[in-house]
Amino acid sequence: MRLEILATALLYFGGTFLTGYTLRHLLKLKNEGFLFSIVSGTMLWWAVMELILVPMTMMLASFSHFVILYTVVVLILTAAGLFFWKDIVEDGKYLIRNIKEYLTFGHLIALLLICYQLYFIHHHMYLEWDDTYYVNLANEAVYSDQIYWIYPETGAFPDFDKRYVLSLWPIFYAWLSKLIGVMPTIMAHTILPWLIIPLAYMVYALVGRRLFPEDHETQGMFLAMAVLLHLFMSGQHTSGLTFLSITPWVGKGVLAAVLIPMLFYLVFRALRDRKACDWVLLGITGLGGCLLSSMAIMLTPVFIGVSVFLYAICHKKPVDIIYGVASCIPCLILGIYYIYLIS
Amino acid sequence: MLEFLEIAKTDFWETFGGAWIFPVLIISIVWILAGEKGWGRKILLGILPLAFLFLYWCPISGMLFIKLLGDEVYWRILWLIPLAIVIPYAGCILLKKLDGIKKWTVFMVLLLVLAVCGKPVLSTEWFEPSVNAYKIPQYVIEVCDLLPSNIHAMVSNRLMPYIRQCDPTITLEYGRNALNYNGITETDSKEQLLYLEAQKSEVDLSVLLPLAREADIAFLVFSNNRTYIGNWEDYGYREYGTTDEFCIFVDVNYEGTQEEA
Repeated sequence: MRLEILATALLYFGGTFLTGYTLRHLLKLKNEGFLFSIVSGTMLWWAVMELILVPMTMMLASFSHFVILYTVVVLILTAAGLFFWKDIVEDGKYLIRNIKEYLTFGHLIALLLICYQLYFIHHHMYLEWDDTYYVNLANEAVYSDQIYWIYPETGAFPDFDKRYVLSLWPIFYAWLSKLIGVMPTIMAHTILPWLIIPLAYMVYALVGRRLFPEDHETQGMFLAMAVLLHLFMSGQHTSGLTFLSITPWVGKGVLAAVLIPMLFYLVFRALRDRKACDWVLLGITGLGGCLLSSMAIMLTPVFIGVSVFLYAICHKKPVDIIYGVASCIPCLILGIYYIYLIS
Repeated sequence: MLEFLEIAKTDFWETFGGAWIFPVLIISIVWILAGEKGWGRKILLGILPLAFLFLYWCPISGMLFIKLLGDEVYWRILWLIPLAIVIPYAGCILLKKLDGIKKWTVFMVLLLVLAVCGKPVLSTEWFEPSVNAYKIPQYVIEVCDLLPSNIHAMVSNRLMPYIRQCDPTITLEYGRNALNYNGITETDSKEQLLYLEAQKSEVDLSVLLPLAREADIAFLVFSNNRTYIGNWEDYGYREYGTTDEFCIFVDVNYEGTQEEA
């Protein structure tokens, strides 16, 4: 299983890393570093998947056709990143020059806590009741070659629950399963935590870098406290941070642990730097979030809307509200469609 | 209105109860609002979490969210509060005022406070040691090892959520929705009658098996502790295999019985 975990991590982080450089080049974002590339590349992968998957699901396309199309698109985005090798080398040189600054006591504690979390989760299991729906949705895609047209809990009759059709996150790990050659159940429970947990903390590392630029020591302490909070939260699984440990493969867990901190990071950037590219990235992230859970279709505009509104009012910059609304357009379109579907 | 407040209160306690994270959050917000000079940060790290708390408790916005999300998942509005950003940020504001050994000592104390105020997530209360790569109970794997692929089965409720995670080619007669049938005392629905009979500790085979045959169920998997009224063979079924916890029965007309365990 170690080989499968390693292969998936290489595929995922390698692919999103290069895709991040493609996106950065398109958005003219220079000197953002490796972590930013991986995280922004991930958001682009999810957004592109949402764009491809929803129409294909509606058109009753087969899963294998989806795999071919999405893989080709992802390959193009990834390969395009290689053309920007100068940016990669530049970021690499910067990292090597400043590596000592990142080796702080706080970073070390954060790293130890993350390793402990991964080790514990790898050797333990959490039995999630909803897996009988979501994980089997991925299994059904791989084994019956149909996307979402069979009731996943029984596999015995056709079904189409409109509530989830816009947010088929399990198809993402079904796609990974197909590429790596393992069963989606194993991909979800055993391999995905090795992708999602580091990804979540990459977002927190970016937030720390934004909040405390030039102060690497405090960045490390910020990250250590953020990691610790995920390991010691309140008593119930309803707490969002808890999801990162108990069910990192569930779309809602990824929404709580990765997407919402990412929205915070991008809103902070967009409002402080006032660059159009950050708003575009926010829009891409919002669209990518819709893949995770139908909840994100509503929570993303609420998060962006409230934060941008408060900021714009206090700073007397109403134009920010327009940018904020524009970045929510993908969610708003899907939200209207969702209401149309369930009504 | 009262109903909304009851939902909000219950969900709030379910999210923050059993630990001291919420008081820590409030202290952090106050600390940020008092100690942070830049208005931009004050808004995003101090006022924004308060705004989400307000939206959560305000009946107008709350009832709107409930209408959109459903009352069962209203607690997810609380996810919007970036706890793991606000609390560490407040801690870092404090740490930035210090230097040297004092800074490291306070940092370690803060970590300790967060750990003590919270509740360990990685505990045996929620987790159990994993014994297979699927990360599902081992008794499910044992049953799946015996069952052939591409069959239609009715299985014990203990197996039902997991069995297709191990072998998706198996189709089941019932999913989780069938749990709603528990408690029904009078019904004419054959689907419900079959399910309800299968839940009894002493199963009447004269009721169960004709209904099972009608539903084209080739395999039935029951816990070993069940007893039966009647003989399986009299109704065209027979024992197929057993594990430590389950007993598998098969329709004698099933084509693949020659490959039995």
